[in-house]
Amino acid sequence: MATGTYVPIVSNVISGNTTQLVDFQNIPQTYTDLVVILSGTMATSWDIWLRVNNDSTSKCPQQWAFGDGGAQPYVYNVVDTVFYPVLNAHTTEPYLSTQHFPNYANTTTYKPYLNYSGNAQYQFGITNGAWNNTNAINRIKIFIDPAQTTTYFANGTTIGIYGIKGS
Amino acid sequence: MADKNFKVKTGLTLPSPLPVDQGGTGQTSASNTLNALLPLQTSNANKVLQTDGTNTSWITPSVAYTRGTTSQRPASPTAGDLFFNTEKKAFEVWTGSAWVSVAVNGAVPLPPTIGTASLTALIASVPFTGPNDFGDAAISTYTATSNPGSISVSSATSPISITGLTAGTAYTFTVTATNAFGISNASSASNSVTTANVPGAPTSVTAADTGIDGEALIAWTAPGSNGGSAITDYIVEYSLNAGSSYTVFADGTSTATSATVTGLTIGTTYIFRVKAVNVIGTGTASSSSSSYTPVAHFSTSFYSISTTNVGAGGQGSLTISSIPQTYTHLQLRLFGRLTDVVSSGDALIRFNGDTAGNYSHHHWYATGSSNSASSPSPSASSTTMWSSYGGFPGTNKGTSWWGYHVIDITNYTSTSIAKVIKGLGGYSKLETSTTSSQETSMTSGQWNSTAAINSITISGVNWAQYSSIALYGWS
Repeated sequence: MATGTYVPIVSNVISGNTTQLVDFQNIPQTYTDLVVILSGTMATSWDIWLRVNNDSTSKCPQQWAFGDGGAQPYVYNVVDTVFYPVLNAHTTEPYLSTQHFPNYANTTTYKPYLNYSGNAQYQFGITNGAWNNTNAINRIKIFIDPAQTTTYFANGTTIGIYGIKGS
Repeated sequence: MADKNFKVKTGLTLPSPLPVDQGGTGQTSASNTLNALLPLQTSNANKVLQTDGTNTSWITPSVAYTRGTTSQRPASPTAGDLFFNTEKKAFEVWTGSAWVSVAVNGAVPLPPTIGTASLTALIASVPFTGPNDFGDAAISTYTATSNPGSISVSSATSPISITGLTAGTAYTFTVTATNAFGISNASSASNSVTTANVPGAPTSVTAADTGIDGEALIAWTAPGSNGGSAITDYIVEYSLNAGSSYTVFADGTSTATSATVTGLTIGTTYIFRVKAVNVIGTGTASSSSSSYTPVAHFSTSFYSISTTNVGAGGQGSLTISSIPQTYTHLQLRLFGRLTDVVSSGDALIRFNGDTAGNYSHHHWYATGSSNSASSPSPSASSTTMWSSYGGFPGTNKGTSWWGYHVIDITNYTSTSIAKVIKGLGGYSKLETSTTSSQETSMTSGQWNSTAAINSITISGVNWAQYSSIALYGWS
């Protein structure tokens, strides 16, 4: 008999208009893949950042491909200290970002990262990257550039982590 | 009549062997000459000292003595007669009116030589070596004594175990030897050993939802001090009354710094705390966690059908057969690295073993380190479905980089319509600390068959160890 899986590990619904950081620690190591889902809006349009295991070194090579209505999608290759679940998250058009961390508890391989996100009116994007580290992922921090002191996750924004377990 | 004590004058040379009753091996006959026991001194020779505690005087005992039980004392003794009382294991002398005991002073042993003391929990092991000179009688026992605490334990052999020590205390030990004539001086003090203490309190206790009804993941940080002995277990406790009282959650024995508690009541508020345990005992409790109230979870509709985790030997073509027809859609999640291609490659997917040209697919992809993307790349009438367009890294990418693709297959049980496939994924590789290369692709395809999908073959690649091919179904 197949085993039911895809379970919410933790979910955080933002209340009020002051939150700039959601930090999930002690993530269980009992699943095969992690899926992080963000949905909401921003007080002021800005990028959303994601950091793995609080690693602030430049170990996140990634490729962004996104379209905003032009003929061709834009593609950028960068190496950064964070991933970008949502670029230019909008103030009124809700975004949805689904991010995959396959094999996240493995301690032998680097950790691929796959994200697709967008909103109805402005943008659709894919981020394909990797966290250049063999450590198991046990912490995911989702936040706004600390230099941006006037923007934050809008009230009602939902940030959740789900676990998928293979048979 | 006042009690009187008699003893042979200090400095006696005792015979060897001593009487059996005095710890020796000889002079067992019922009547023995005491001459050899008595001092051969100019004055007081053949005398014993009589004292009442204040005044002393020498008296001359008979040179022979008899031995036996109290009832066997001589019936008509004269003052100075000696008798060895086998019941009392002591010489007695007839004062003229009563039999009184005579204490015989022989040499006590020299001190033992102390060894290196050690600890197991709150039990000390005190080894020693007996003295070469055990005095004038065989050593009957050794006694080890702690400092502080003066806990003494006697034994005939080394080492001596001393229990009842106090946790977190530094101890030294001495050993004495005892023979029939008394106790030796103490040995020199042993090395100092300090007993372990109970561990400190764990910190940062958190409670988190596991996604399963009635469960919580309790995690904590190990205490800063293990008390000097390794932590052997953690005790997780919960409170239903904001910390007024706690109940131990039975989670077995584990040194992990997290535990999943089960059986929680949905809607009830809990707080948790944790205690560390070592061989000494249980440490103080951590601060309690924040309040945690379990909630009911939605019923999952995403199910694992098949997972292949590739071992050291790699994995070639793979067929997932007998796919249940009970779901609405399938999702294939491919995680891997390829060992049979140099740059990058794709998995080739076939349904139901169909090798005819019934597959069509389009790909959009971005490759390399350039900031450019392809135009959609159509391919019709193919004999396989491509998982992606160069979406898995090959051998020249090194062994640390991995591709990942999520492929959705809709309405796979339908026998009326063709099957639509959607895929997304890629890989990313750090070339230097500042540059990278990647390949990202999207796939849209179709299997032009109305047959329900009951098997999927993934071929055309050799997967490296740690790759994973997983098929899920959801409704």
